[in-house]
Amino acid sequence: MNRKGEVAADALMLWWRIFLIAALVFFVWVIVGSKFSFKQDIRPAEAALLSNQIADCIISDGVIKYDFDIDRCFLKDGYYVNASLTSFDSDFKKEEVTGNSLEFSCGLIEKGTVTKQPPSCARQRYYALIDNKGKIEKGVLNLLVGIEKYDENV
Amino acid sequence: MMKMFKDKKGVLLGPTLTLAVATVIIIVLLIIFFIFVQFMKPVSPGELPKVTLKSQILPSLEAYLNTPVKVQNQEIKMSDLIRLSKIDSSYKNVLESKTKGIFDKVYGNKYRLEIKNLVYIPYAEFLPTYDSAESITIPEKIDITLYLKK
Repeated sequence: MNRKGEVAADALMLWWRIFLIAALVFFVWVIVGSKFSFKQDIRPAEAALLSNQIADCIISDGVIKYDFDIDRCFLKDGYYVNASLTSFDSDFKKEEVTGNSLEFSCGLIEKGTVTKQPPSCARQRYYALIDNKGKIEKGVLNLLVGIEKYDENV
Repeated sequence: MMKMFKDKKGVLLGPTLTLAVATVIIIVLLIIFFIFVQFMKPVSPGELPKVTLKSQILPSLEAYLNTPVKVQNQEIKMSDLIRLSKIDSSYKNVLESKTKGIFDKVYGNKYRLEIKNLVYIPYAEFLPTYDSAESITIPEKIDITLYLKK
C-alpha cells in the first residue's frame, strides 16, 4: 500500500470511530428518552410528603393535643394547609388553616373538573385520640394540603 | 477499502479487525440495553394516591390500639381488649362493636380491619380489592392489619 492509501485508510478508521461514538450516544439518548422523557408533576409527591410531615408533627402515640399548632411543622411558603380535628365524644372541634385557600379548587379536582394550571391536593383522614385538656376523646383528623407553584414544579 | 485487508505487511489488518469487532460488540450492547430499558418501569403519577393512603394507616392503628375502652367498669386500652379476647372469646363481640364503631366513623365502607384469627370487619368471603394495607404486631404475636381503598 502506498503512502496515500495508508493516510486514506487511517482517516477512514478515524471517522468510523467517531461515527461509532456518535451512534452510541444517539441511540442511548433515543432509547432512554423514548421511555422516560415526559412532563412530570412532582407536586402530588410534595403534597403527600408534607401531609405526612404535618401528621407526624402533631400526632404523638396516636394522640393530638387540643391546642395543636401546624405552623411549627413546616415552612409555609406556597402551601395551603387545612387541619381539622373533630371529636366523636364531645362538641370539640378545631380547625387550623394556613396559606391562600385552595379548598374550592381542590374540590373541583376531586370531582374531576379539568382546570387550567390546577393545584395539587392531598387529602388524608386519620383516626386519632384527642387530648382535650387531660380528657382523652376519640376523634378524626382531616388534613388537606394544596400546592399551587405550577410553573416551578411541573 | 478492500486493499486495506489485503495488505501484505498486515499493517492495517489488526486495527481494522479490532474496529469491526468493537462495532459488533457495540451493536449487541445497544440491543441488550434496548431490551433492558423496555423492562424498566417509569414512575407512574397514578401510584401517588396509594402512598398517601398508606401513610394514614399506621397513625390510625396506633391511635386505635391506645384507645381507652370500658370493660366491666374498668378502663383498659384497645390493645388489652384484643389480648383479652384472644384468651376469652366472650369479649370478642365487645371488641368487634367497639372497633366497628371507631372505623365506620372515620373510613365509612372504605376499610377492612383484620385481627388475625379473631376479628374481620367486614366479614365476607369475597372481598373487594383494597389499595393499601399496613400491619402492627402487638405482644403475643397478634397481627392487626388495616386495609384502605380510595
